[in-house]
Amino acid sequence: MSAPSGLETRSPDISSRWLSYALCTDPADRPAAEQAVAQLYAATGRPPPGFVWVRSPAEATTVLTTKEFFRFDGNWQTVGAQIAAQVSELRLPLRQRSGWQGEQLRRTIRDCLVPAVNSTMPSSRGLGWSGQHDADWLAQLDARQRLRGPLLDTWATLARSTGWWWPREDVCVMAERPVAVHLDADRLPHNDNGPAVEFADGSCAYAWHGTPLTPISTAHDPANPGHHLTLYDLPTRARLLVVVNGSAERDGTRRRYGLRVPNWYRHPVAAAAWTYGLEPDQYLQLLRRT
Amino acid sequence: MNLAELVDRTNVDTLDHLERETTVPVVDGLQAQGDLIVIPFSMLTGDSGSSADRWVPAEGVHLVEGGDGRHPHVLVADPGTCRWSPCGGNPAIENTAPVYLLHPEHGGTGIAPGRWVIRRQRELAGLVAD
Repeated sequence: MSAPSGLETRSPDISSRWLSYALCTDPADRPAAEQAVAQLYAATGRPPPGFVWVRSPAEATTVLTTKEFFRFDGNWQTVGAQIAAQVSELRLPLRQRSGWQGEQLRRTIRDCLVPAVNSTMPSSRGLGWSGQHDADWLAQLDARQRLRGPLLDTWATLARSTGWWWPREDVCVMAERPVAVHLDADRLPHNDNGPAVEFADGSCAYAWHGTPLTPISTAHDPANPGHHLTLYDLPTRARLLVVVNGSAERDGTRRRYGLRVPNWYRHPVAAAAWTYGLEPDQYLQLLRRT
Repeated sequence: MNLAELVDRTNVDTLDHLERETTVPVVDGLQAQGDLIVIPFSMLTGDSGSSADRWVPAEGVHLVEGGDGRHPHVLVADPGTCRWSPCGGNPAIENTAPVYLLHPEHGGTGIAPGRWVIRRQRELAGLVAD
């Protein structure tokens, strides 16, 4: 882990507080969240919307029926566009790049949790916000002592009380927070043995030490019965081969570890063979692994 | 040969949850011990096959040194049964009787008589170390 930068050293309490909102897995505080959304609608001159609560962003896509290919469709009169304009104004102080940037929050939220949650949704459903995962920019405003005013209070309330949400003219679709977020020792999203982010409806996302992962393919590990080799896409120009140790730990579990392999490998066995300088058909002849 | 005997012969100890008394299997073919793989010489084409010309001493040879959080992989052989050469990090071995690889976490594994090349596992960032 890199040395703590700016915000963490100067404002550890601010950082850890906003990080705790981002990582919260409690059920949403629905009254608080609905009241906050109603305030944002009111600021655009609209009455409170109806609310539809879903278990996850993936489930939200079944409610937000119109498929929108772009986050913004060009119409400035929609409630989403008008809230976006407000947010843009609130975030103006952040255009000055000086001051605390909140490295840990950025790595955890913007680089990992947001793309991970996005990966659970089959397609974009147009303008929406991230509730608890808006904590990174709110923390930056907080650290600049610019988190003042009724609208920012409202956004802070949303970060403390709910998951992702999508405002529409008469209805706002609200998603619950995840039921589990797994972290590594550096408090980055990570799980050796399964999804790093899990929602109540079973939708989930994988992450490896803060890097969101998209599984490409899985294969049996020759000579390692019952265990698999899994190949994931990484955001960098590489893929990650996740393998399981051939021998058990003291507690009987098998340690998993990830190996970076060239991004042209599509099959986990070919990628595993490469790590030993072998051809796939040679690696398949493996007789024993300890 | 069992793990307890291998530990006795070397200065390398293994984690105490590994079974000490079971006979270590001897494998005649491709096998991996963590980040090392033992490849039959016949599987490799274009390998010069530099001659294995050093006798493995009684206390064994550290094919991969330990240190910096890494564990060593130690080659153990009865006297006069195994020759080896470092071959620039991909050791070649030639044995006339079973020889053994010992690792503190992975335990022991036997290598049948033959000619073998031992390689380290690699990834894009470099060599893997366990």
